[in-house]
Amino acid sequence: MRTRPHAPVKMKRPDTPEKLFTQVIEAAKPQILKLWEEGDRLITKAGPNCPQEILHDPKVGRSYYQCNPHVWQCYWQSGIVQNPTLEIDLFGQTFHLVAKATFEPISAFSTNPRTYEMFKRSEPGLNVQYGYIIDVQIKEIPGLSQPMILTDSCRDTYLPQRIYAYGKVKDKRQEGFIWDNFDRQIFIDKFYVSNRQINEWRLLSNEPTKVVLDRKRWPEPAFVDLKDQLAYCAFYGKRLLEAKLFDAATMSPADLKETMPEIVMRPETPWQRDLSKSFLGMARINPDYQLTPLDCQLAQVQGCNERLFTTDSATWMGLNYALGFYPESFQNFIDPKLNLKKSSRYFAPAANLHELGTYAEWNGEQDTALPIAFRCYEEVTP
Amino acid sequence: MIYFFLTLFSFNLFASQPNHWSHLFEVSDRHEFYQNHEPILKPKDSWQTLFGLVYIDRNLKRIKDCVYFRVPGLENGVLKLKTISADDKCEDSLLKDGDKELIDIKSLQFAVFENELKIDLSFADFRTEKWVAKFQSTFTKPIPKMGLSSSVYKSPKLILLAPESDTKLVVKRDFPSDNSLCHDINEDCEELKPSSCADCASGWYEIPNGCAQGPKYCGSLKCGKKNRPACRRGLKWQRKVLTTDCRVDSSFAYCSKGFSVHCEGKKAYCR
Repeated sequence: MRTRPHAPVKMKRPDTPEKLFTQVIEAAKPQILKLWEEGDRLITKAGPNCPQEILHDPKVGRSYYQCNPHVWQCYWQSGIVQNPTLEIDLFGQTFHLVAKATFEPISAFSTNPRTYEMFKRSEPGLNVQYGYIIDVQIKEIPGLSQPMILTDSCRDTYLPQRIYAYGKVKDKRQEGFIWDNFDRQIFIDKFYVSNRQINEWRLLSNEPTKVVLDRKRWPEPAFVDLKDQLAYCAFYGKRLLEAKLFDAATMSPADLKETMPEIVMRPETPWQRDLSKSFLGMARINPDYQLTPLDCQLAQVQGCNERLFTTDSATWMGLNYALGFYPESFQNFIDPKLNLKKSSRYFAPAANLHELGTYAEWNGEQDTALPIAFRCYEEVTP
Repeated sequence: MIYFFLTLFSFNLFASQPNHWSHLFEVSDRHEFYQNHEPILKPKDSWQTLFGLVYIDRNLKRIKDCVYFRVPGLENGVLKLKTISADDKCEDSLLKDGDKELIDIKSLQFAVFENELKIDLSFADFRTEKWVAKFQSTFTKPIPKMGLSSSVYKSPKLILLAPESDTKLVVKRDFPSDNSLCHDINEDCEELKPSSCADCASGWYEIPNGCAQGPKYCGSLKCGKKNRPACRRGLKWQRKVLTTDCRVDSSFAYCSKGFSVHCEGKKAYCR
């Protein structure tokens, strides 16, 4: 005998507008998050049309548009699609969710009311240091609105727990400085801190006069003095990246599954253990070496076009810009004077400084001839 | 008629559950004796704290609605709601005026489940009501793995807030002061108090003591320099079982070049 097929379980449409509203909001969560975290998918080649929020520049990679409040603002200002709305099909009806522009304008950005409000928590209790408050409504259920917090879920990435090496050794048979991060939850920024992020810090710290107004520069790395780099990271409960963590994030382990290897390798580049086999090694022995587009994707060195927020250089754990790109500042508690990764787009590919574990000294003050970028990391307590 | 409206106004009566009960965080201050689905009949004519419902308001304040019940006896029962800071105890406001009251209740029972809380009410005029308060899906920290972000590790990606905010609740909690202990670990590696370092305003630092978790303090303090705490190096890179005596083996910590590890009890400092 054939069994009777199961009838699909239908949810009963709630009998009050309040309960219906709650159900629609619940069903809309994945779409809200998708717009927030994957806003880049909606950006066409022509770019968005909201010059007060985003100046489209082909040199800026798509990651810039993820978890970016300017993209959120642009979308709801009809700068990305003509009729911005999120459609939710529920109880046989299509509901239309929109973000309300009920927040105060940020005069440094535009005179338009905002569809979000950035915040840094002002008291303990909430396990979210900072984020963005939005307020949404459903067109078909008037009179009700739902505020919520969007968190910065695109920013950093986890450093797996294992034994790591720091720096270089004169003799490859030496163990050098090794350490481990077992029982530690460490998360490292994937990109340099950008001017867009620094602007938010300035505004939250009530320093609007220090905001970078040139929108073209918003995706660029923030070049601020060491004092401000430390203050920026601490403001968000983070710390300026440490040199030994940078080495851990860039020196690919020989075997990902073996977290306590007998020998901890120190590869010279993130993508090839032996530098001599990489384009940097070839450039050292061949003065006429011609950079290829792939070379510039892996390490933006002198001779490469500038590109921002690219992910082609991602290391084994997801950190971008290991070699080349911009000089980067670190804290270094092992060798405090070695606080700078000099390898950058300011030096020819044949330069010896394009090598992992190679650090220089920085006095903490910016110099336009060699601007220094930075990033933060966060250690979360159990 | 006038009397009816005056009564409605003075007691701030309400007929249905508050809207923000659809995205609560947790239940607190639960009555220690009343069981799920048990009609509340005793002690007659007394005010009882049933529970508190914790949520975050529009101003990012953690607050709670305390739900009280005057058990029916000589008079019909009354359900009273009072919104207070989540840090305060419902019991302390038991006899204060409620923000909202629901009168003429003949019987009440409630039940707390993982995702919701149900209240069944029946009234003197034979009406019945069923209220369902919903909790935002319980957040459990994911097991950290490659690609996970700190934000996803710490909290849900999307947090719903109560649309209203109560300006009367101006109680502002201060962040713990810099250098105050936020994770109490003793010399035997026992956790005396769970970590509250997530409450620090600008991060925290640790003084390594050879334990998987060392004592932690709010604020930032650079490790490794003279008279500063040593920096943590880990307990497994040595690939051997460490003795728990810092003076015998301090390899769990390191100092900057030019300084060496000195032990104060089990804690490692640099000299």
